[in-house]
Formats: sequence, structure tokens, C-alpha cells
Amino acid sequence: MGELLTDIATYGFSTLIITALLCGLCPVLVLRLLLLLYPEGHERRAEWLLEISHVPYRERLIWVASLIPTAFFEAIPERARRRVVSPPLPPPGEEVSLENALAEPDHMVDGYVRVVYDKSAKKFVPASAVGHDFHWPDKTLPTGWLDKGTTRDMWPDDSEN
Amino acid sequence: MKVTHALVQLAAALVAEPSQKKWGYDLSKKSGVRSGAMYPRLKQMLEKGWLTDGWETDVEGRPARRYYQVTDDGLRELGALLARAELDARFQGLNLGMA
Repeated sequence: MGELLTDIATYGFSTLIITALLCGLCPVLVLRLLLLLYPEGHERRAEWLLEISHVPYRERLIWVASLIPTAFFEAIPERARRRVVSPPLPPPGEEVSLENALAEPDHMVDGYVRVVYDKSAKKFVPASAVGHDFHWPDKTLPTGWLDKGTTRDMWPDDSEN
Repeated sequence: MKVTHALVQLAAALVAEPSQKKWGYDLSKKSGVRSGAMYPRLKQMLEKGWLTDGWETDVEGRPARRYYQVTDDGLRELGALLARAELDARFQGLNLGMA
């Protein structure tokens, strides 16, 4: 306690607060800001945030500082890639057009159909019809299992894409 | 994949105990590779199929972590990489644990 008071007297209270922020709270705060660069749902968001809780406090500043360039080089291209490959979702309330899909029994699995939003046709079409290499769950494209009559409002949360 | 000091050190840490799951911070400490250099290489190794990854389950009292584990292919490739690094003058100063 005596040392703390001496430090406050020597360096000033504001210096002590700034130091405490930098060494304590700031790395996690900086990391959280850094992780915002990644698109939502990206695995790094969870991975780094959880991993830092296992990094000793005194090493966190260096740990996070080292991740800054990595985040820029990974997250920004990833965002750009997703913007290019991920077509816009149809407007809310628009009924998903699945006539073609439903006309093809081959596309159906237990009454549902795997679909992908066809940007040029502006409607959902069977994933197999556009040759989309379908991976489920696919985080890069608005794809899913849809039933006839599905509307945009019933679409899975956008944040997942 | 470009063979760098970071990659060689990471490979040495990964093959040291190949059956064990590895976590980011521990791997960084064991390999001596900075976090910023480590994660991109882990990602490359995952893409090549040298590693598998997953999330811890059944953890109590602490947050779950993402782990990495060397695959059979990875063990072979990383072993070969280390063998080449042993002969490379650039990596003479490194302790690759392949005495």
C-alpha cells in the first residue's frame, strides 16, 4: 500500500490509471476492436477472445500487439471475399420462389430443398441446379433448407452469413 | 508453403508430442513463435490437412479453447520439413528436437 501511494505521488494518478488500462483492460479491449474487423461468425472472433483468457496478464499486451497485422491481413481480404461471393438477400417479405426446385423431386430431401440465392435470377434456386458446391452449414452464401412458402423473414439470421 | 524460422519452430513444437492437442498460447510458448506469426501458419497447415482442429468440450471453471492436432499426413509432412531444415544452414541455430 505504501509503495502504491509512493507511486501515485511520484508518477501521478493519471499515469497510474493509464498504465493499469494498458496492461490490464486495454489488451482485451484492443483485441475486441481488432476482432470487429473479421466478418461475423468468423472463427477467429471466438478463438482469440477465448485464447487471451489463457494468456498471463503481463504477456497480453505483446500477444495482442502481435495479432494486429495478422488481423489486418486476414480479416480485410476475408471481408472483401465474402462481399464478392455473397449475394444480397431478397427484400424482407418477398416470397422465396421455389417452383423449379419443387418441380424436381430430386432436389427434395424429406420435403425440403437445399437452395442458394441466384443473383441474376433474383430468386432462390436449388443448389444443385446452379452447380453450387454445397457445404452445410455454409457461412459464405445464403443457403439453407427451405420449405415452400418460405419468406425472407423466415430466413436464418443474417449474422450467420 | 514458404519455409521460415516460424514454420520450422512451429513444426518442431507440433511433432514433439503429436498425439496431444495443442492450444494457441501453449504452442506459442513451446515454439517461441509470436502469436501473429503462428496463427497464419496454423491456418495454412489446416488448409493442407496437416492439422485438425476443434473446440474443447466439458471444461469447467475456464473458457473453452480451440485446439489443433497433427494428422498422420501432417506428421509425415512436418517430419520431412524438419528433416530438410536440419540440413539447411539457415536453421542451424534452432533447436529442432531431432537429435
